[in-house]
Order: sequence, then C-alpha cells, then structure tokens
Amino acid sequence: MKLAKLLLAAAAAFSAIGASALDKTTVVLDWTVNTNHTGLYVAQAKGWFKDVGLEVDIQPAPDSGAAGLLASGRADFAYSYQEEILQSRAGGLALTAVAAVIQNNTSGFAMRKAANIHRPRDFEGKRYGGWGSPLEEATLKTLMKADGGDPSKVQILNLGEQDFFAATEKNVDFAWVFEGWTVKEAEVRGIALDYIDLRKFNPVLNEFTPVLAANEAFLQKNPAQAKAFLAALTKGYQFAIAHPDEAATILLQAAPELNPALVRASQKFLADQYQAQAKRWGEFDAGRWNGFQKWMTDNGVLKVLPPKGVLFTNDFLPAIR
Amino acid sequence: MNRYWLPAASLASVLLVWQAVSSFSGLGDYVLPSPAVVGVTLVTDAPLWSNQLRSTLVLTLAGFGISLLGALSLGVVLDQAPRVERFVRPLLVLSQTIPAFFLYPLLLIALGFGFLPLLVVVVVACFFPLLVTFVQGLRSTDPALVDLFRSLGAGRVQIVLGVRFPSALPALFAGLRITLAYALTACVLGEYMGAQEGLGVYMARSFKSFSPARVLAAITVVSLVSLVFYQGAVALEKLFVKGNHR
Repeated sequence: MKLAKLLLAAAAAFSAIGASALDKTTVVLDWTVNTNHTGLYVAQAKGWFKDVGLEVDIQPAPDSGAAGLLASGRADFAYSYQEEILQSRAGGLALTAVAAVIQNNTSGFAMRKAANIHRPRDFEGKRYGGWGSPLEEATLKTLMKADGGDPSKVQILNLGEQDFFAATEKNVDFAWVFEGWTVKEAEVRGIALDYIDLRKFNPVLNEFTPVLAANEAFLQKNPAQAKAFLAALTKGYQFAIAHPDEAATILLQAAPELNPALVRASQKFLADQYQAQAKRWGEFDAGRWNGFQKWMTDNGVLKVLPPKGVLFTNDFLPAIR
Repeated sequence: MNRYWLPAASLASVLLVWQAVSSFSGLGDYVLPSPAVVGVTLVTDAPLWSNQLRSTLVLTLAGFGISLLGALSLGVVLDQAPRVERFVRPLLVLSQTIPAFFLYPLLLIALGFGFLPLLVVVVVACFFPLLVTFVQGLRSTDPALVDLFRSLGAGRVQIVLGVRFPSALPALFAGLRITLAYALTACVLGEYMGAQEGLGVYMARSFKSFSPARVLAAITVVSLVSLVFYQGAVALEKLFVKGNHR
C-alpha cells in the first residue's frame, strides 16, 4: 500500500507538470465481459486509474486475439491464461503474466445429475463437448487414468457455439465450464448439476486462469505505468472481494445486457475466489506455475519449451500491507 | 391490401411453427424461448437494443456506401479494361474466401480498435457482390444500342454514362438488394466477435450470460432491419430503373 501511495504521489506530481497528461493504457478482455473482469470495471468506475495518472481504455477482443494484440503493441494488458502465455511464448511472442486474476483454477467438468457422472472414471462411454484443444484431451487422460478409467472410451465432440444448457439437453453428457459462471447459472435456474473440480482429483491441474498478461518489452520500458495500473486494479478487485453486490451493480452498469441474477450469484461466489488463500490479490506461486507447465510438457500439450524470459512475475503487484 | 396477405401469412406461419416447437418439444425457455417470450423481451429491452442498433446501422450503411462507390468506379474501369479485370479478379475472389473470424483479429492488430476494423469487415463482405453484379450489368448492354450511339458521334464517356450505365442498373439493383443484408450480417458478426457497441455486442453479452430470449430478440431486430433494407432497395429500384424506361 505504501508503494501505491508513493506512486500516487509520483503520478500526481507528474500530472501537475504535464497538465492533464494521463498515460493511455489499453486493456483487452479475453471473452465477452463477465465477472472475471469486475475489478477492472470497478477501478474504472471509481476513477482509481485516473488517480494514478492512467487513462484506461477497455477493449473487448475476439476470443483468440489477446496475444497478437499485446505483441503488436495495440494493447498494453490483456486477460489471458497460463496455457496461452506458454503457447504464445513457444510461438515467439514474449508475454508475461503479471497477476493471477482468480487465485485458483475454478473451472471443471459439469454435467446434469441425470448423466450419472460422479468422478473421472465415470466419463467412460460418455460424450464430452469441448472446443478442440489438446489440453482437454490430456486433462481427460490424466484424470481418468489416475481414477482407473479408460480415456479412449470417451467420445470427444466439438461444442462450437452451443451453450452448456442447450448442449447437455441431448448432444453431450458433460462439458468444461467455469464454476463461477455456468454452475452459478444452473443454481439461478434451479437445474441440478454435478461438478468435478479438477484440483480435487489432481492438484497439478490447478492452472492459473484467468491471468492478466502484458508484453515483456512493455514491462521493461514502462515499469512505473505497469505498477500504477496494477495498484489501481488491485483496489478494484479488493473492492469486489469486500462488496460483491455493489461490484455487481457496477459491472451491470457497464454491461446492462448481462443477466443480472447470474452476475450477482457469480460475484458472490468469486468474492472468496479472487484472492482465496494467497497473501495478496494477484500473487503467483512459482511451484504451482512450474508444476502445471511441466504437466503440459510431459503430456505433449506444450511441444516447444518457451525460450528464456519472464513467464510470470509478482514484481508489479503492490507490496503487501 | 391484397399484395400483403401472402407475406404476412408466411411470417405468421414461421411464428406458429416456432411457438409449436417451443411449447411441445419440452426444451424450455432457456433453450428455445417462445415467440411470446421473445416479443415481451423485445418490448422491455427496447431501450437497450435501440441504443446498440444505432451504431450497427451507421456502420452497415457507411460500409455499404463505401462499397457501392468503390464498385461503381472500379466496375466501369473493369468493363473498359479487360486486362485490368483479369489482374484484379483473383484478388476479389480471394477476398470472399477469408473467414471473418480470422480476418477480424488481424484487422484489429493492423488498424487498431474502434470502428475502422468493423467497417473493413462490412466492405469486404459487400464490395464483391456489388461489383460482380454491376460489371455483369454493364456487359449486358445491347451492342446495337452502343453502335447506334457511336454512329451518332457519342464519345467513350457519353457511351458509358448514357448507354452502359443505365443498362446495368437492373443487375446492380439485384445485387444491391441482397448485399444490404450481407452488410448487416457482417457488421453484427464483427461486433459479436468483439466491439464496444452494436447489436452484435448486445447479442454476445446475452448469449454468453445465457439469455436466449434476448439473443432471439436481437435476431428479430436484425431480420426486421433486413426487411426494411430490402424494401428500401426495391423502392429505389422503382424510382431509378422503371423511371428510366417508362
């Protein structure tokens, strides 16, 4: 917090010299605006970015767009996930994760009660609806083998743009979802689901997702701007942790088309998840990061090892009070 | 009144089938909301979607207008210079085969955020059909008519403006009617992939937060706008084409 105050003072001094010279900072979203992004919208609405001398521009982008936009310098920060950082690095784009937006991987497999799936070996003979990434197959294999199941007996289908509830009516038996979104929506609608938390069956699968990413060159050139941004963003997420309902209202003001009941339920759930067991919001645990990365390599998901560089860092987060 | 009852009946039958499927399939309102539910959503959500519709309309019409101007000028050139046509044609065909979901992220990188990448998506979608139908129209000019004008001493410019262009109008308007719908769809698709405003944004936020009634309401709005565009093109055609001949 001391650092944030120092930065605040520095930024104030800077803006006093340069009149109203706010540093323009562009942030790209990874998906349609949702509760993973709440801290960003809170900090924006409360004017906390302006307070540290930043003019923040929030841009939604195509699902696959973040890495290229960061690498080209069109965006300064982007919502991403550990796998994307590693694959982009392997492909020559120098992205660095600077904050863990949600401390633990809150995604997992969801299915309707009627599918009668309670643990990974029950996936045998069932239809999985996914998006065609090698990570999914490797995850199913790892979980099922460890649980005494035969992964070759799962039928993997592509869901395309179907939503979970439409797809599980007929076409598939289970799918990979975010607990804080799809599972909350099921609760809102009163649909009985079962949910398999990846971490419970294999702690290594605790991928960092979502994370905030930046271009490594940008971080080297503008460390003060990055720190100022993360100081304000931290405040935003801390507010969302402390006041989920008010935070939900702020998000709904920015995106009134979102389903309000879902946003409120999701916000309540995420209040305990953004920081969870970590000492501060955004903190990366090196052991966990490397463990998941090793699993990706061992299982052929990551075919090229990322060249040297900072894959993730806690250096730009505000100091712990 | 007689000319309206058949189209009205066809629209009503769509609503009836839709209502029947949603009532009897047991899918429930969260998979296929009934027309009644969508109708209510359309009304209660009017402030939201009308707000988003504005930027969609502006971008669609702007992209269409640019394409039309481009197609008119390039069309005349291609008609007059077959060698240029042979050079340009492969590029034009190629432009039609690039999927928007691939093109759009690249455009964001190349052009930055804002309306420009969306505008390009719209132009890419409608330039080609406009150009092809226009050139085809120019080519359909009666050679005897051209000879007649030439024998009367008309120059190249006069022949293009006085003979070839009017002859091309029916084909151009046929292209125009379908292309307006293409332009609208392309714009909404681009917005859906990631933009700050527009009907596509309304659709994406509704779809991703599991509100199919809103998605269908947005689709209804897009369909109605398409119908209006189509009728508008028909009216313009009457004004220009029929007026020329009678």
